[in-house]
Amino acid sequence: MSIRSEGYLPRITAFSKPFWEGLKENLFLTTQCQDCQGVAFPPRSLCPECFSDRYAWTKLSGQATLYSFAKHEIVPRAYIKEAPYVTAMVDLREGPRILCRIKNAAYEDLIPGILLKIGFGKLDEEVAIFYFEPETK
Amino acid sequence: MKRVAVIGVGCVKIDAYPDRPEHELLSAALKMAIDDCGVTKKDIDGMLIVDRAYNEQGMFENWYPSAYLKLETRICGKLLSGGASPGFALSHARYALSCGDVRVMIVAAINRETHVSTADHMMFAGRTFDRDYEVVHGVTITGVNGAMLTQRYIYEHKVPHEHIAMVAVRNRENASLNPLARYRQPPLTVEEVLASRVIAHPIHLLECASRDDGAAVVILASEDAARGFRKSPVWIKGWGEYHDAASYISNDLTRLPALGRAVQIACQRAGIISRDIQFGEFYAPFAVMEVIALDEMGFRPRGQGAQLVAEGFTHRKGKFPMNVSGGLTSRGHPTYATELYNVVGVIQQLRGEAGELQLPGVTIGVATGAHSGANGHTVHIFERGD
Repeated sequence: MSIRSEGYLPRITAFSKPFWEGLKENLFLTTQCQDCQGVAFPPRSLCPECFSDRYAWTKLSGQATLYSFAKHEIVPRAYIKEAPYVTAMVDLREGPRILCRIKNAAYEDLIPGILLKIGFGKLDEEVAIFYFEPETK
Repeated sequence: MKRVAVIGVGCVKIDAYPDRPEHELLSAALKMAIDDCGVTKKDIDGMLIVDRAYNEQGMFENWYPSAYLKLETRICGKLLSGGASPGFALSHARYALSCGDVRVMIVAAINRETHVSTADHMMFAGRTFDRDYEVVHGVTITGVNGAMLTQRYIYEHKVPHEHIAMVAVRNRENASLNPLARYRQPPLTVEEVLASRVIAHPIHLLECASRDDGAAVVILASEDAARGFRKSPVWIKGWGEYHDAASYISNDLTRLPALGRAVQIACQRAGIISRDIQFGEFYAPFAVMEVIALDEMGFRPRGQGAQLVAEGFTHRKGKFPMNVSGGLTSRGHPTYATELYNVVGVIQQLRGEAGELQLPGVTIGVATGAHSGANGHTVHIFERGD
């Protein structure tokens, strides 16, 4: 992941800090509701299933299935140096369908349904980020 | 509850107007709408405004337009809900009119964005997605709402991309006959659409709506005030909106569930079924969205929308003429005003004022709008008659 000099670093809050600190240690964390056990992603302090605010941080497997994807040629100003790149909607093994970057794969080799695993990189010196890549390259 | 009618419409040609400020575009569209119906200034007792955040003039929600127009009103304000803003404003105006709070209201939508570069616009528009967990990956509206949707639709329903591209071909053919459209030439072929520059694989420039400026005004009146103007009233027969709990995340990318629900609700209010609707102007910034909108209308089993397009079902000589005014890909897409242009397109047809695009004998039409990840839709069904 290239160093991003302008625009769109995440805003790391007191609540979300465990997630972003986890990425630095190659951990993919999110919140799980302690009342209905629902797993949310992105992490949330209020359960979107039952509106309980009793949550705990839990480790995700980092395994996912590709749902859909796009290879970006025309991109926002902050990402021009990174283009072209592939983003995707993937289904985490734990349920949530999320948006992410796909790396280490040719666009032509991607097809919905293939298995993916998580990888970790950096947005800048301070901020780590996750991406997904094919399980078998 | 009183019935509510559209009594006047006006809009500027969709184009790039980087040097025409908000109030000038508003004035031009308003003058056309007033001349269209013959309403006088003292008749108007409410105004709702839609504009977008790129406005260089602040306080455009009520103070500036009402002061500029010297218009005293009982209701005045700005309503914003992305591309569904005009529908949202229409809904609130209709409600106020039907209750008797006001008698004649202006709904005005102004969209200026071509003075902002596309790279900067994408920085802003990209924040439609989660600012901290999604935007950081470089996702874009075109990437998700256009490309990922097309990718998944083709994969799941095994449809040829050519059939989706035919939406853009038909839109251009219609736009060529619409003086309000920005992209009237040249005529397109499927091959040209699929050979145009890739924006986000697998979709191409000509499958996407463009970035445009525009302003449209619709004048509404309650039943007791709607008659006696220059044109016969066109009635709001049904209305509905629905909002999913997600901007595509955890949603089925091959569907627009909120559109289906909103159409259903509007039809129930109108006392009709969706097949009674004879034509429609749909909010579809990407060709594939028109295909999915057809699925949501329920003409055939889900997944056959592209086949319907290929068969000419949505052509203006087909069974369900769709986006006869040229659609977002060729009429143009001044985002926050687009839904009001859809309404104008429907009203022109129902009045028999659509010129070379006129559909014979139509009496019921639908106009839609959608916001953010298309997770919310607004639907209005219009009918001509007494």
